[in-house]
Amino acid sequence: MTFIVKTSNLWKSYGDKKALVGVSLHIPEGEIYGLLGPNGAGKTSIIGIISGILRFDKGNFSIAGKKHVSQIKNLVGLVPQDAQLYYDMTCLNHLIFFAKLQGFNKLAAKQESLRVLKLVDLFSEQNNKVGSLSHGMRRRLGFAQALIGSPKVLILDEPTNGLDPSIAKSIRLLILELKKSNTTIIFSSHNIYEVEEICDSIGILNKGKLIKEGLIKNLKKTNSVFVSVRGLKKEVIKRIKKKHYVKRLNEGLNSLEVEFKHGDFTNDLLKFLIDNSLVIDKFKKGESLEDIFLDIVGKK
Amino acid sequence: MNFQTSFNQSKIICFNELKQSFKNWKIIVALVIYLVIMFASLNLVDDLQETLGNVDFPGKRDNIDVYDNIRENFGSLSIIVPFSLALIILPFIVLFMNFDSISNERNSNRFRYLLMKTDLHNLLLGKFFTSIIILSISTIFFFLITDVHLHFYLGESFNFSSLFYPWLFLIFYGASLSAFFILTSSFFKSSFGALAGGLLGMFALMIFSSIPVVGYFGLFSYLKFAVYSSFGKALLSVVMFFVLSILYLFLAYLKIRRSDL
Repeated sequence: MTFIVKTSNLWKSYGDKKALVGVSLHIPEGEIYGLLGPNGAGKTSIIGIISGILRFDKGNFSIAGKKHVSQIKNLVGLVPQDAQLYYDMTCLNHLIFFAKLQGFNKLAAKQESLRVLKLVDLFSEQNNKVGSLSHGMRRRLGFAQALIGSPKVLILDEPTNGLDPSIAKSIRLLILELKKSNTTIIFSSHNIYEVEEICDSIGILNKGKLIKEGLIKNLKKTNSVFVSVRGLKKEVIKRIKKKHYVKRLNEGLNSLEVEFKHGDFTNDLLKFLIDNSLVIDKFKKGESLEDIFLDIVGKK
Repeated sequence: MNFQTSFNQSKIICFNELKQSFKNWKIIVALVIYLVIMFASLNLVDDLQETLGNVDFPGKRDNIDVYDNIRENFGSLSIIVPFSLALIILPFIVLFMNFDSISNERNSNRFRYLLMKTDLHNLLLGKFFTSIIILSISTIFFFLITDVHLHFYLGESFNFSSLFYPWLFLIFYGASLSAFFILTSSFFKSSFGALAGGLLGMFALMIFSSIPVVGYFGLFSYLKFAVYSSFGKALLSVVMFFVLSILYLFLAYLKIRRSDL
C-alpha cells in the first residue's frame, strides 16, 4: 500500500488554542479516506494545511513525495465547505478562469471546463450565471472547479453538509465514481454513516490529536455482537457477565452489546438468551463506526 | 514558479478583476465623480486664463513671468488646474476603488480558492495592475478630451506631448496610492474595517509627511515636487512613487502571508 499523503507530527495553533497536536496521517493512494471528528477536532485545519492554504507551526507533510507548497498546488483539488464563487460569471466562464490560472491556454481551458461540467452533471447549466444556481448545483460547481486538471488528491470538506438527501446521495455517487479514476479522496464529515458507507479508511481526530487511523474493516471489532432483545432481566445480565468469554457488556433499554475476550461466541450467547425465554428481535456482529467514534470522543 | 508563468497568472487575474470591476457600481461611481470634477475644472481654467492674462504679477515686473514659466515646463494652465485637482481627489477615488480589494476576497472566502491555483504575489500584482489600468484609461481620456476642448473652444493648438508628463505623474501617484490601500485592506477582514483603516492610513500619511524620517515613507511628501516648475524634481517624485508602490505591496504580501486565511 502506498501512501500518497503523509503528514508527520503536524502542529498548528491559533493564538493560544492548539488546533493540531502532532498529527501524523497516512492516506493510501486511490482510496477514499474519511476524516472524522467532532467540532473543533482539527479537521478543517489539517485540510487547510494539506491543500497548501494554511501555514503550520511544526512538522512536515508531503503529497506524492512533494513537500513544497508550490509543487503541490496542481496535485490537489479542494472543495471547501463554504465555497464562494463568482456569482456574476457564467458557470463556464467561472471554470475557464480557474483553468487558465492553472496554466491551460484559452482553448484547452474551455475544453477542460466542459469536461468537468459533464462529470458533475452541470453541462446544461454552462451558460447560466453561478448566482442563479441552486445550493446543490453550486456545490457541484465547486466540485467541478476542484476537478480541473485532474488532481491526484481531491479534498472534500463536509461536501454534503446542508444538502437535501437526494442531492447528498448524488454527491456520494459522484465521489464513488471519481474513485474509479484512481483519485485519492479525503472526505471530512460529521456524518458517520456516510463515512462508513463510502470510505475505505478513516482517521479520527479529537482535540487536535489523531486518535485512530486505518481501514474501517480493521478498526471495527469483529469479536463483539449487538443484540436487540425484549424482556431482558437483571439476573440474566448478571449470568452473562459471569460467562468466561465475556470481556465487556453494555446494556441498553432493550439491547445488549457484548465484547468477547477471544473468538466468536455469538451462537452460544444467542442460545443462552433463547433458553432464558427472551425474544431476540435482531443481532449484529461487530462494533459500528458510531460506537468507535463515540467511544473515542468520550460520549458513549 | 518561473517569471513567464507568474506574469501570465497576474495577467489573468488582472483581466478578471477588470471585468469584475466594471460590474461593480462603486468603481463606476468613483470614475464618474473623478471625471465630472475634472471636467468641471475646465470652466475654472477658462476663468483663470482670462484673469491671469490681465493681472500684473510681481514676477512680470522683474521680467520673470510665472505663468510663462509654468507653461513652458508643465504645459498650459488648462492642464495644471485639473492636474492639481487630481492630486487632491485621487486619494479618495483610489481609496474608494481599492479599500476592500483584499478584505472582500477574504470575507467571501474566495481567497482560499484563488491561492490554491496561484501564488499570493500574482494575486496582489493582478489587483495592483487592474487599478493602474483603470486610472490610466480614465486619466488619459480626460486629458485628451481637455486638449480637444481647448483647441476648439480657446483656439489653443493641440499639444499632446504636454499631456504625457502630467499623465505619467498622476499614474505613478495613483499607483502608489493603490498599493497603499491594498496594504491597508490586508489588515482587515471586513469591508467596513478596511474602509476605516484606509481613511485612517491616508490621514496618517498626510500628518507624517512633515516628520523628517518617517515622511520619506509617506507618498504625500513627494507631491510638493509636482508644483515646482522643475521637470527633474517631478521625475524624482515619479521614481519615489514607484519605490513606495513596491514597498507597500511587499508589506501587504508579508502581512497576508503571516495571517491565517
